[in-house]
Amino acid sequence: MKNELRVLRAKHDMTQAELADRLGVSRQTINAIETEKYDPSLPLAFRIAEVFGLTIEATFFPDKEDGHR
Amino acid sequence: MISQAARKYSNQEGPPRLITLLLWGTFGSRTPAERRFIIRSVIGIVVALGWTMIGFVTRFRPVPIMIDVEVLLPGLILTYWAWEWRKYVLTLDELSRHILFEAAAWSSVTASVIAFWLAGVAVIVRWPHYPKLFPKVAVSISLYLFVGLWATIHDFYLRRVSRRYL
Repeated sequence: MKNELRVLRAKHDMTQAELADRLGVSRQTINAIETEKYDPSLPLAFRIAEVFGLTIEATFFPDKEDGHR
Repeated sequence: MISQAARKYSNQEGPPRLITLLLWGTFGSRTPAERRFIIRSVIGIVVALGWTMIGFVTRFRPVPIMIDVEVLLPGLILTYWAWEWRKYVLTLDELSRHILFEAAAWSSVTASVIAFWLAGVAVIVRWPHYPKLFPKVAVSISLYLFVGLWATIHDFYLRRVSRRYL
């Protein structure tokens, strides 16, 4: 799953640690999501979208290869 | 700035420390919850090994009290450890819990396969030769051996899975 987290953080002038703090997760979790090593759970994905005032579809996008797994 | 609460529940301040992965199967973040889990695990190990050592030194006398306690001890210690592990896991965030559970799942399958093979080979080569005096103790020793095997494999997988995400 792809995401715009890094861009959104930059737009909101927010560090990984600050975003992690707001979401109640570790900075490493945010880093793993940003680098697309880890797909967040649906509740966490909704919370991330909410922080940036967006919908989940505007924050996360399906990877073309996801459908072939 | 990371708040105190977030710091408390942030389990990975940097990459996992190899020594804590190998010894305790934790991320080495030294959060209060992790420290508590490690200290209480040490207490459990000391009690289990201490009682077994005392048993062998005293040749499990008075029998059967000593042996009965020895046989029940693995269950008691593991129950205590499982309770403490549960409390530790509940303090972890989503990714850490995911890593821990994935490592545990792979470990369970792998350790079971290896344990069954080892058990078969042990019967064929007649190892180990437990003292005839303490046949019941052999059961608890086998349980400790399996826990040791599982823990070793779990450390391997925890390190491997952690490296994939962190």
